[in-house]
Amino acid sequence: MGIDKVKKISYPILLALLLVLPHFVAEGWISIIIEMFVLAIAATAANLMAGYSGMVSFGVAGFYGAGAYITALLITKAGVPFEISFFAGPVGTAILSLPFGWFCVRRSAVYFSMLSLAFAQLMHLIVFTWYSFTGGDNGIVGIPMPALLGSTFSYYYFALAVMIVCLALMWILINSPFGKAIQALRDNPERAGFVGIDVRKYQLAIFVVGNFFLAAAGSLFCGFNQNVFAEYMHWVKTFDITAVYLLGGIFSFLGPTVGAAIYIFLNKIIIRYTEYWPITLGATIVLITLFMPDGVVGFISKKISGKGRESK
Amino acid sequence: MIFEVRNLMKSFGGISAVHEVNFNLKEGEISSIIGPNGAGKTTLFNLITGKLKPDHGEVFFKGIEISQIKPHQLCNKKIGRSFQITNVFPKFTAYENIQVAILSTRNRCKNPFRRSESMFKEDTILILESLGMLNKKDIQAGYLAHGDQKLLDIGVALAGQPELLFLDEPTAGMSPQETRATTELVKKLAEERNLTVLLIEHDMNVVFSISQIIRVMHQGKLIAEGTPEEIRGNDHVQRVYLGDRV
Amino acid sequence: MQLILGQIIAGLSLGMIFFLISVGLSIVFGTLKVLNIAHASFYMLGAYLCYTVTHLVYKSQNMFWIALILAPVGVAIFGGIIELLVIRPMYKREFLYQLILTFGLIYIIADIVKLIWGVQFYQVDIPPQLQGTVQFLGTKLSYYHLFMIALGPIVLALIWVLLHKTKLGRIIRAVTYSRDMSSALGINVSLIYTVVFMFASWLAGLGGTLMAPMASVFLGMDGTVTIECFIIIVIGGLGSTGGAFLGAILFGLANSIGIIFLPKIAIALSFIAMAVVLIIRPWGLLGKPE
Repeated sequence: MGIDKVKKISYPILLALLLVLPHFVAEGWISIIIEMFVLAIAATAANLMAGYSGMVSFGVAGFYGAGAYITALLITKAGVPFEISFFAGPVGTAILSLPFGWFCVRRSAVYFSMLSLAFAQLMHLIVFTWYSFTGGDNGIVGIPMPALLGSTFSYYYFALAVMIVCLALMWILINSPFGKAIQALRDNPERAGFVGIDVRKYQLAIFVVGNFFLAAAGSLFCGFNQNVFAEYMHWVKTFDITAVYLLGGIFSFLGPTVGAAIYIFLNKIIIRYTEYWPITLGATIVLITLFMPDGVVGFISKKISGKGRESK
Repeated sequence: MIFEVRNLMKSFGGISAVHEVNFNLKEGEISSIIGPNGAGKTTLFNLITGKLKPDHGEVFFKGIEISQIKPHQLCNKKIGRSFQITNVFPKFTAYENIQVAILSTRNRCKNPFRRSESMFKEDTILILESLGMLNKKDIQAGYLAHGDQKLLDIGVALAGQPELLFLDEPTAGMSPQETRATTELVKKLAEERNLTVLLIEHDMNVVFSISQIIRVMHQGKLIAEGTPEEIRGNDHVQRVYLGDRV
Repeated sequence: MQLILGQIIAGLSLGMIFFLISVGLSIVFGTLKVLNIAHASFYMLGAYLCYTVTHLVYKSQNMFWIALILAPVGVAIFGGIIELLVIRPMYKREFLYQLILTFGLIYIIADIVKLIWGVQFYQVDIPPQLQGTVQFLGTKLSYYHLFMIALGPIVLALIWVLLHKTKLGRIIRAVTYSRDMSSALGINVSLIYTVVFMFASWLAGLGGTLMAPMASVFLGMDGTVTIECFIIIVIGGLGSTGGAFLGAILFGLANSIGIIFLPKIAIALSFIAMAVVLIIRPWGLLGKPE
């Protein structure tokens, strides 16, 4: 099939491109691409829940921020070096999301979304008001980083590596029997039960896994900016991440990554010329939802493969 | 007796849906439950497959009481069920539908590491072949014709290698040819795999051609049980349900 | 004691505003089955329109009463346009798409407001008839607050009468119960949806109009109420009008009294309450289990 060959050739080329990129572009652009890597991880993780499991979490910002805060707090309050703090972020967040998730998956989709929002806002509130510990609305700034990752240049390669590892892990997960079970319960939870899948258990598992990788993205971003703010957890961030995976396409694995690229570029370009970025984003989202519900990737795939499926 | 139902009762808000139902299934027996709409057949199915909990009574499968078990645990006990309103995984291909059912019932779904594509390929193909759907294996279930979806539904139920199979109106909405083909298929599968099969059906041709035993339900109660000839000759049943349709 | 009474009145009047906004959101969810996250944007629009109308001809302080009539209607018309263009195609779509689309609307409407009115804060004066305070039990209570507290139950009663005593109300309730059945009975469901959406927008606009003299009119005022309205309708019960009223009152009181006794937790209280309700009784205090 044509599209598979295209994929096989383009991936290595893309990788090679990404490896040499920092040598050719200005530092400003490198920062932007690092942001893209972070957003790609976050959106793909959020999509594990939304697109692959049918569970739309409106609390993604909360767990993204949790990763960042755990990392930041460990470094600044406990002196734990970044090498360990970075991993503690996702691990700690995964543990944190267990009790939250247990409550969230007990009800239908609408309630899942709202409860996950409530929990995330609660986390945001705690972080925002606990001034003495988390810095409140001032956040935590000037977080020391290991010398090896001191420059934008070197952090780029770190971020690239992290993104590749995270995406690879998520890819393996989705294509495993576990991943199949998750998609089955998205499509038909009742039938999934009747073939032996304990729906609640699997939903909780994917919730924890999704939040693990969201937190990884948060920790990665925190390390790059060497700061963390309450905004990391605000529901506006949830919207941005949700917009990204919707933009790219929720039914393809790389959709969210593509969405991240489009979003960041669109954002940086539009902001240069006008202050009206919100209406641009809003209008784009509305148009995508109305006319391209499978996102950019879904839209393009359909065009390429034509009427690939037999119909009734 | 591979399956026993004792004194099963279920009411909804004061209305008795299933009332003191008792019957047994012999190993390898193919039988049907018939009855007018609202007689309680699907409620009965839901009770014996774990979707509903009975108010009273017990259900035994190979001597073990199963009425309190959740559906997803039931599956591992070698009971399979198909559904009245087709219940497949619409975004999966026919192949993936069967495959995920196999993966789950062989307890492999906990595995997050291996590539699932190649797992249990032969078993999946075998089931698809016996359904006669091998040529349609890569079509998304949501796009399959209605009759094929119902066949797939049965296939998914078979994936767990059940000993006992419950089929809820397997030929509903099918054309006469499809109905005949499905009936033959169920007979063949039951023989090949030594299945005990219990059907709910409205199509009398299917019922009378396939069943060794027919049970008649009316207003939640089991009012008759016997061979096709006995049922045909039963006045009570005639009055209540069959009329002169047979 | 005086402080508490004052706070109670303030809390109740704030609760009434929240009721006006939340009830529309709840009705839209109950009838159209759509969770319109951009609902608070209509509230904001109402406030801005109130400002414009009151400064329209010349700065007459009686213009507020004209604004009270015109502004919500303006918002209702705008809501109707939004429903026709953007919401209508979404009824058959999944929840995720509806949510994300209405979220996009927030951004669009916010920027439209910015385009038209700019970024400065605006003030609307309390109409002279309602200015001043009255002494009660040693506390000064503002007439405007009392006005709003009186208005709340009146609107609640109006909605109840509309839904239960008029033919239109019966039709709306039929459509809420079952879209397909109503359609089969010859009811023009699309029209009803538009009407209901416009009514909800009207209510939100009314809330904004009434809020304008109490606080400033500014960009981002939609964000100050969005999450809170969610909390209210979840606690009260999605789709329940009485629930929205109850939830809003509780919310207003909890906030204003909570600030005195437990300032740090006051805000968190609402979220915790929402989480608790979602966990134990997801259909809310006055809602019906699905």
